[in-house]
Amino acid sequence: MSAIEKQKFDREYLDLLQKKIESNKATTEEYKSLDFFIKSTVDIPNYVLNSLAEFNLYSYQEYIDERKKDFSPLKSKLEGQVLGRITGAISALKATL
Amino acid sequence: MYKIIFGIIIGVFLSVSFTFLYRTYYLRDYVVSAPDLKTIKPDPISGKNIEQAIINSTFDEKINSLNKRSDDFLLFGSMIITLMLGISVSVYLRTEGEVTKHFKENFSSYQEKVIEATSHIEKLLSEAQSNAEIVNALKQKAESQTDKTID
Repeated sequence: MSAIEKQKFDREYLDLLQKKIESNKATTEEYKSLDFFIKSTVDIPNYVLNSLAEFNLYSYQEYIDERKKDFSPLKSKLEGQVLGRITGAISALKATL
Repeated sequence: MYKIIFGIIIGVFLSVSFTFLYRTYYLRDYVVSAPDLKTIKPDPISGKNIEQAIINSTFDEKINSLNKRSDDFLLFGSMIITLMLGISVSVYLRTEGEVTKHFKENFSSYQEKVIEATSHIEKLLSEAQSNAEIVNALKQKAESQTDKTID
């Protein structure tokens, strides 16, 4: 069992993860663990990755790097639509715990 | 700057037009041209009509005086109105220029604010859509589990 699969998801962890994602401090491992948790809870595979693919981003690292840029045409979309999708999913998942 | 000069020119043009139109149409019955004055021959003053002539001349003088005062009043009135119009036009043009200049200088900051607001709205919308998506998925999963249990 990998570290991602061992990760325990509770409300506190999800709160922390949400804050980290909002401030773009989350790591690729944390994004992977979130995708894994969504898959195991609601059977939707690669929820975050599929959201990123809509903006031609095919890895978590690309998403993190794009948000770090000062001037990026995608930045407002990523901080709007993708971030909204992720935080929305986290808040829905919190309700299940 | 050229807009202020343009406003002053418009003001002067309006004042000249107003004076010309006033003289042409409103005072035309009272204006006597130079040739007309030559043709007017005063009535000979005789002993019979001297009293009447005095009354007429006094009356004429009063009328002339009144006309002069009304002319002064109209002249100054038109000058004040023209001045006010000129000021209004120049203020309007200046304000228009200032507003355009302000927006040109601060366009990027307004654009950033609009983009930020749009991004925030998109985030809220995506949150709601994602919530609904996850809740639907959970509902379907629960239903399928119930079906399996029943089977």
